[in-house]
Amino acid sequence: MIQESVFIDRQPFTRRFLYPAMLVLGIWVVMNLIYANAWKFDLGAANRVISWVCGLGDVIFRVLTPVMIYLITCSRGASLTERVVAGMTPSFGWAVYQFYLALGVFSVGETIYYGFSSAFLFAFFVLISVTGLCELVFRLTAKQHRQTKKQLLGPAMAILMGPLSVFVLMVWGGGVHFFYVYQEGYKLLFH
Amino acid sequence: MKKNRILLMAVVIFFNLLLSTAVAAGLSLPPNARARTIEPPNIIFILTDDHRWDALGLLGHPVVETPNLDRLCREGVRFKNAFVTTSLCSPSRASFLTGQYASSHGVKNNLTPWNNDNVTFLERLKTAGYDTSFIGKWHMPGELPRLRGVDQFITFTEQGGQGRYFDCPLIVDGVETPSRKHYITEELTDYALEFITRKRENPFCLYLSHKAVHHQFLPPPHIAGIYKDRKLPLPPEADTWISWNVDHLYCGLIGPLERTYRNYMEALYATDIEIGRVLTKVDELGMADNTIIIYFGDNGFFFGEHRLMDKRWAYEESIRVPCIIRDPRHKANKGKVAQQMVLNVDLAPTILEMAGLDPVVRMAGQ
Repeated sequence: MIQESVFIDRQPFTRRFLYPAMLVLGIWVVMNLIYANAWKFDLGAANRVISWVCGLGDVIFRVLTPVMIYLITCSRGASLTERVVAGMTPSFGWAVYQFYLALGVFSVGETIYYGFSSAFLFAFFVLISVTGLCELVFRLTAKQHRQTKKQLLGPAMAILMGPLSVFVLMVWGGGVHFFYVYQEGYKLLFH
Repeated sequence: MKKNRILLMAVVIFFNLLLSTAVAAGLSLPPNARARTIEPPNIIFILTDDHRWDALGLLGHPVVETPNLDRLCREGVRFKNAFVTTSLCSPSRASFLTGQYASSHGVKNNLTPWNNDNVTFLERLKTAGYDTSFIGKWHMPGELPRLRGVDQFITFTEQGGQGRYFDCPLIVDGVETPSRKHYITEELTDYALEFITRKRENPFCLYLSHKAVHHQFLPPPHIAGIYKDRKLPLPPEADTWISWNVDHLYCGLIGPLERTYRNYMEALYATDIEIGRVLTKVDELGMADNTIIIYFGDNGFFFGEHRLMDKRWAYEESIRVPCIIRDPRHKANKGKVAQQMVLNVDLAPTILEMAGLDPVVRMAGQ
């Protein structure tokens, strides 16, 4: 565990974790509200711009949230857990919203199982991968001061999760193979 | 004089016998049975997947061309108000086969198994002397059944019964058989043409059930990209990233909407070409005057309408399907557009009626 506080002043919990996490969550919520509602207004070509910025932007933003979080929180002395959790806040919000929608149709058990579908696993592992990359950069930067090679192994492993998930969930049979594994599991549990 | 009387009696007895034979043969039988005295028609039923009602060249669609389906429309009757009772592959397909709602045939979604006690119209046709063949997508959950009433059962089990667009192995009468053609729609059509061409004494019924144009909407290589420059008629509420962002991730439609749309239309064009091969073969064999051709989609498809993708929801784009019937016995109806509402559950009893048979009692359709 890197003791950032050794060389960085540790700011209060609200400043090193809560505010940054609320900031990224807020950006994501606003982006989604705009995306979900802009089409209702006759904005002409602006609608297209909005859909690209807020539609594609939503996905990119969720994936790149750890970068933003690390830039803000590392200088404020956030712990590893705080950095990782804060970086996942928008994706967590997204998952909760998806589960809420699923609960309208499926049982609680089925909704939990839905969390193991490729969309959620992919989102999670890509996020882990990006977080690993941020952590690696942070530790390399910190290494210039006092870190060891052993502490780089964890982030490196996390980075590998992204490509691995891309292969299993997207490339393997064009994503269809995993879907049918998932479906068989569903039948086994719920039918 | 006595001789004449005997002759007269003989003539009277002869005509009496003739009359009673005629009555026994037909006049006293129910109307459907009377129709059986006429040569029963061949029936070709073509079912495609996810073909929405308006994706027809004849209707002025700005992207897709469907010259062969257009021809069917011109030579037959297009049912303008055709719908499915469940907008999902397996339940809808079971409804086509049985003439029943999902609550009766039991295939309520893509996961609840087919009950082999279900009676299909193919079974009924078989008992009436038809040669029958089921070729293509079965996609009912559970093990492949020993489908009663079919002489030939060609299907696939790849990818949960959805099959693959390319190099898809088939199950031909229970035997796994490698694909002979690269593209699935062409492969299934080849088998269909072989069945049609077969020499026979009985009428036949072919159930040709395509995988196309289901997800992943893949056209064959020589057709891929033909619509890349077409302007797409997407609804105002749709946008490029709708399949990523709205709540239907499980549909597996990750990617720009425009790409999905073009692939779908190209796969549909490829399917139309294969339907054209069936029509041509029917003409070549000189059986067009006694062969009914029926075309249906198993459900529709959203391309961003109501901010939705895929099917399932009970909006028009999802439940309304193309339905065309070319019955050579009703040439006066050529090119007509029927306004009457038609459902997928109507298919089975309608086919039986066309063959001069009574519907199965449990059939809900008409």
